[in-house]
Amino acid sequence: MSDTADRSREEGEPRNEQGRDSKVSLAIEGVTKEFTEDDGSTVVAVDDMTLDVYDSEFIVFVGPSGCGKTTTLRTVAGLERPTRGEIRIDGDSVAGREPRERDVAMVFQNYALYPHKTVRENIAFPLVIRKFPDDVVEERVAETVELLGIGELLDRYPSDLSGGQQQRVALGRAIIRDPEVFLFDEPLSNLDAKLRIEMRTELNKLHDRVGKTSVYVTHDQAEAMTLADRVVVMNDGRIQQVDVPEVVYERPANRFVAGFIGEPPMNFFDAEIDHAEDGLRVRTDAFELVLSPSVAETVAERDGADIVEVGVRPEAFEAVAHVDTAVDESRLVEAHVTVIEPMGSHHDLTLRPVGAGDDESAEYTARVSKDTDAVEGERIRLAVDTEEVHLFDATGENVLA
Amino acid sequence: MSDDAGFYYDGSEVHSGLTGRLSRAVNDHIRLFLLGPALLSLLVVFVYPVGVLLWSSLRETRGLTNEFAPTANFARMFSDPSFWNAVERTLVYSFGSLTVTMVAGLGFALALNKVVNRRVRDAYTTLILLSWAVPLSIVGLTWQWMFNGQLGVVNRILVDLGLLSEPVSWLGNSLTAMAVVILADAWSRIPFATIVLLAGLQSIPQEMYDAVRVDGATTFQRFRHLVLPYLRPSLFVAGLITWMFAFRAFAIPFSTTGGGPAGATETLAIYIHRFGVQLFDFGFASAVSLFLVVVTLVVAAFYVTRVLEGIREIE
Repeated sequence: MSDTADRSREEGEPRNEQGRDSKVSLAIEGVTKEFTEDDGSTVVAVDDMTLDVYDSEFIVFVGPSGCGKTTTLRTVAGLERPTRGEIRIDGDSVAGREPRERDVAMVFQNYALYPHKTVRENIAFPLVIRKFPDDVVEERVAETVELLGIGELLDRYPSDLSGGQQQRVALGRAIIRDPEVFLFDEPLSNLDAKLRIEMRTELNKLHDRVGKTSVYVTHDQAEAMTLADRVVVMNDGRIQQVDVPEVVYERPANRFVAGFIGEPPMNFFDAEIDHAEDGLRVRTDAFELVLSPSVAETVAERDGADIVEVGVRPEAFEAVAHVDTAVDESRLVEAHVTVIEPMGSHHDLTLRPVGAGDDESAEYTARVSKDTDAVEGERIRLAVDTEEVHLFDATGENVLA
Repeated sequence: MSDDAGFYYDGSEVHSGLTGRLSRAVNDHIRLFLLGPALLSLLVVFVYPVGVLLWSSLRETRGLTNEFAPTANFARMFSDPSFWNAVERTLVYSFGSLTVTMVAGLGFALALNKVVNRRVRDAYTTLILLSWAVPLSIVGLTWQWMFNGQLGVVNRILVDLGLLSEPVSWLGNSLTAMAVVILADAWSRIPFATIVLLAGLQSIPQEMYDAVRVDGATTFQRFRHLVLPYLRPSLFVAGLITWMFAFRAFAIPFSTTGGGPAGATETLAIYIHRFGVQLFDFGFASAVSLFLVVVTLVVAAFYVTRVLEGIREIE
């Protein structure tokens, strides 16, 4: 929590030091992209999107499939024309410009290497077709492969390479151009789980070294959280929230972001709210909590906020036996344990409220420490960290964010 | 199989008699029974005729003579300038048709590949395929009429447009006659090339088109660095097959010009027809036919080797 409190910056400001006062490298201004379906109907893929990406910033678009994140990326690349709005790269509008006339390089999901060219020819290709002199090409290829550690692959063909190697070559083909903006379209999603995590770390290091403005699209929130300077959460063609990963996690702007970011996902409960003397009383089918007076104050400030739902992350629960301080009634929860999933470092519990009977839909999840004495079928007493309870109004806005 | 199939899966045989023995024979020689019919028909329609061809090519059949003279026809063939002229014309004809077919086929394929609406594309593809369904001799007759010196629609249009002052006898001039038969031949082969090349184009992933655009390629560079390498196998298949058929073409030149004027469009196949059917010189006609078969077989063997290599690569 303290981490969040330290951050007194405005939403939308970049995190990295070099970016703080730096120029806007990529500006997306009111971009809307509509597609016409075969039956003549119109689908809005991106809806009036505005975003500034600062120099050397690493921006990650995350959202479910069909949320418009890839369309946005393709629009920046020039592979799609926006229906309305404008893209500026390094201050210049690129409206009507072909991809090759924009200073962007892109890495694709399926690597998109030229199967008939060697690794060397693939990496050199963007320079060769721009008619760079041979010695310059050679020098830049050498630099690039050294950066990526793929020097021994130069004379092989893509079909002889593993997925990870192919993606490295694809990175090389982008890096060699030294573009203003890097675009990544789910570049790791075709790799197996272990390699994906390795490459993620490597991308992180690479960005630290190359330091170029990057826009990265993924549906994997772990990639979003680990890579991003700022995360852009999208749904239904609209930006839901733009902020640094910690804020997106700790203060999700709305119910969608709250449910999308975090694994296992946040638990939501229909709730009734009472203003009481000791704070804000929250009543759900699963528990009754009293939130601190400061929360009550915040809610009171947002006059007329009609809170209908509370969200509690699985991590906000802890078995009473493992809480150091005394647990008062106001944050105590009792439930039946229906499933215990040991994850090694902790247990994930599936819980059913005491009064819920056989109602499976009332179940929720808690993540507790691994030495918790939970028994399937028995009751357990848990304490809720009331600082981490999220309140949502009827429109899904987070009242506390 | 019925009860007296006589063969259990544990290998024991319980029935004797005719059906039992028959089913045992089938089981013991299952490959022969499965491949037999195909091999037999190959024997009848290919091996036997080639044998007959070989046999008759070894006989001197000029005039009233008909005797065994193993080298006579081949010696005559290779020393006869008319044979070499026919070879030359056949090469001009087949490579001319190949060039026109591949260029037009590629053009059509690229254009069809650009059509986004599937229904429109299918309609165009069907239209192009229709010309494939026309029998070759009908194609020849149609083109003959189109280029008819007096009544042909081509002359009519060109004169009406003022491009020609008077009708041209297209099929009466050896150069234009050759051009017309080449065009007619190509017209009948373009659909095949188009379909094969279109399939090749559709094997290029959309992501590759995106990548080559972002990498900065111009339209021509995209074609050269992306489309062409992907199309190479399709170009090879379409080109080789087109050439093999054009090299042996008979129906189109025969029905368009009959080989004329003055033999200017007489391909090897028509040349063979002239000796074998009109002059009853079966021995010589067989020798030339053998030449045609051997050339085609060599090219076909090359093709099959490449295809098998491709299959092995996939495996």
